[in-house]
Amino acid sequence: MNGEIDLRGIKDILVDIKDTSELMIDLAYTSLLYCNEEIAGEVFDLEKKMDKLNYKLKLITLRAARTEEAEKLIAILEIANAAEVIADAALKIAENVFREKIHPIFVDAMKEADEIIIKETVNRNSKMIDKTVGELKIKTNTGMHIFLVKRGNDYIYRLDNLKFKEKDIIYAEGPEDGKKEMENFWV
Amino acid sequence: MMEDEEMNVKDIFTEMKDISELVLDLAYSSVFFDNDEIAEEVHELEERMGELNYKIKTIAMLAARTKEDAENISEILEVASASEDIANAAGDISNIIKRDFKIHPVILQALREAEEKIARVVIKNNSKLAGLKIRKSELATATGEYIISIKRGKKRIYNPDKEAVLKEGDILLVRGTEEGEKLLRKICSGETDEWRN
Repeated sequence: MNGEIDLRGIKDILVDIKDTSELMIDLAYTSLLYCNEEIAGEVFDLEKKMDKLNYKLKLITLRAARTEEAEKLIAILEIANAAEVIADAALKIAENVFREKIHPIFVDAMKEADEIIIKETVNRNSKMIDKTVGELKIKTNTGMHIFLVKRGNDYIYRLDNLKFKEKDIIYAEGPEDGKKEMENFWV
Repeated sequence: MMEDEEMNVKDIFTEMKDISELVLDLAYSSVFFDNDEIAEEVHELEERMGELNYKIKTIAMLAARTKEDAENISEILEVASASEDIANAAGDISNIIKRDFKIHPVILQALREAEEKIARVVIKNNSKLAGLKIRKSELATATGEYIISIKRGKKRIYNPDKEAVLKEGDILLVRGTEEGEKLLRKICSGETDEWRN
């Protein structure tokens, strides 16, 4: 990449930063809702990833200033900074899981929020088995967004090519009515 | 929305969580559509978050009687203040528009490729959506598209109530998948009548 202006690289990192910062918020609230230290741990790992992405984005954006109008690049740095603040906020939320107990108000409040989080296990006869999120079009068909899968001891959040298996534990977020629609999938 | 005086810690916290999610969608929308009006709403929601955070702190302090109370409550205050941080970050994003920064085309490309995509769709006169309540429309569960706001004439309704009725001419600001957006466009133009589960 020596000396070359990498606009595509900027775009790819921006996409990654936006998606990761939103994933981190979902994971942070989920860790709190289920008082799950492992999920909180994932938020910590992602925060480190965000730091790296941010550094890289700033570096290639500054390099791009050689040919691109600097004024047009400021907005990119602003978004990078905001994503960093969001990642830190997610961390601040997830940290509470490591305290002795979680306040019941969180659980009550999250049940009443516009978007709820649910956790379900994939059944042996589920139509999800051996299919990917994309093939199932779950978001389009139910409104629920699957953001995390627990398989054995692993937590997986890169879901694009993941084929679901029996006993996968799925975490999804979406409107309350979406919960009912999802039942068609795991049963 | 209930009167502020009647709100308890849980109500305030729920509103803060909802706003923190809405405000981020709006902030990215303001950049994507280069829209001052949406950026202004982000700013107002940011202020509302400041008020709510202040309120939750006051109520929490008055409620604490013992050391244990105080510890439990400080946890809620931490999370509340994190959601205010998110709103402030959203404010910084929409400031790109308020300050008239030029937007590099890679930003728009990135927002188009991000997992959650924002779109703006108008409900046409022959669309079956006109006259339906949001809940009945099943838009969220049957298309995956979530309504961020409705623009009706000069008015804009944010986080609309599920009982609100959609009307012809409404401009919907939505978030969802590429596929969901295509389907929603067909529904709004009247090309498709059948979408409900």
